[in-house]
Amino acid sequence: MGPNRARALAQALKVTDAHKVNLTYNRLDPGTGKMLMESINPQITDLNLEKNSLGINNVFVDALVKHLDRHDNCLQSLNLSQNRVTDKHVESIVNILTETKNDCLKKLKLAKNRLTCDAAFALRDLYKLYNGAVLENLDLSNNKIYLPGALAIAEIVKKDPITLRVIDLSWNLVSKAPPKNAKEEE
Amino acid sequence: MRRKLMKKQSKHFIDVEPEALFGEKWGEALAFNTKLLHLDLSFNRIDFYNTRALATALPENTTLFGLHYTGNMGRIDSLGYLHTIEKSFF
Repeated sequence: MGPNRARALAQALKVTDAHKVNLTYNRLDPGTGKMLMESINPQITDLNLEKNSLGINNVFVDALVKHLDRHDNCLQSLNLSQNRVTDKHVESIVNILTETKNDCLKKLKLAKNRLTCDAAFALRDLYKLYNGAVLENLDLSNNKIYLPGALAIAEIVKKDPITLRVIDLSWNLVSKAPPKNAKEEE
Repeated sequence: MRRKLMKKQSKHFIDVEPEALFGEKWGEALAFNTKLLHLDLSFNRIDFYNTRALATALPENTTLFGLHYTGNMGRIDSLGYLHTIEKSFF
């Protein structure tokens, strides 16, 4: 989807009363994503943006954070799989969830990105700082999460009360220590 | 003499159990947790010792509905128990 079509869609999203938006595999770049995010109806509950390129820079995530900051937002399911999302982006999302004491977001899919243990630490901090997190489904498959990150997720699992029902950590290296030059490898 | 020494060293190496931190910590967490329904750990190259540690603690948990463990050194039997295996397909 090019910028012209995205602009037209953005106009439609402003007035639609749809609750689910699926924009999978549309070659959306961060600029286009930002435009869509700024015009999206706050009543939307399910946003699927899988297989795009929204995480190349911070532009889209900043717009997403603004959307999550809105008091009338009721996003329950967010799919950012295969979007080149980084740890910093996850930290931004987690920060806004903590700050706004979000009690809507139940499903967060971050599969096939470039996430490392730092993303897992950020998610652990969400539960440390905010007891009311209602996340039920967490997908971190196909990332680069090593032992320290897996132990951080285990801390979440051990926490009581916990709302998490489904955790996907497949295709990582959760029992291995991170390589010494992990940062360079990324 | 050298061969004997190598054999002794390799035997010693096998006897020493490596740290199974992942299995122990996740075992503790799962033994405590009563809410988690589905956990996918497939294709993580989890070794024999970590699998054994996890398998020891797992019977404590009676609420986990599905555990995916393909691609690690373990298998789930028809009753839902985790068992270690010698070789995996990774």
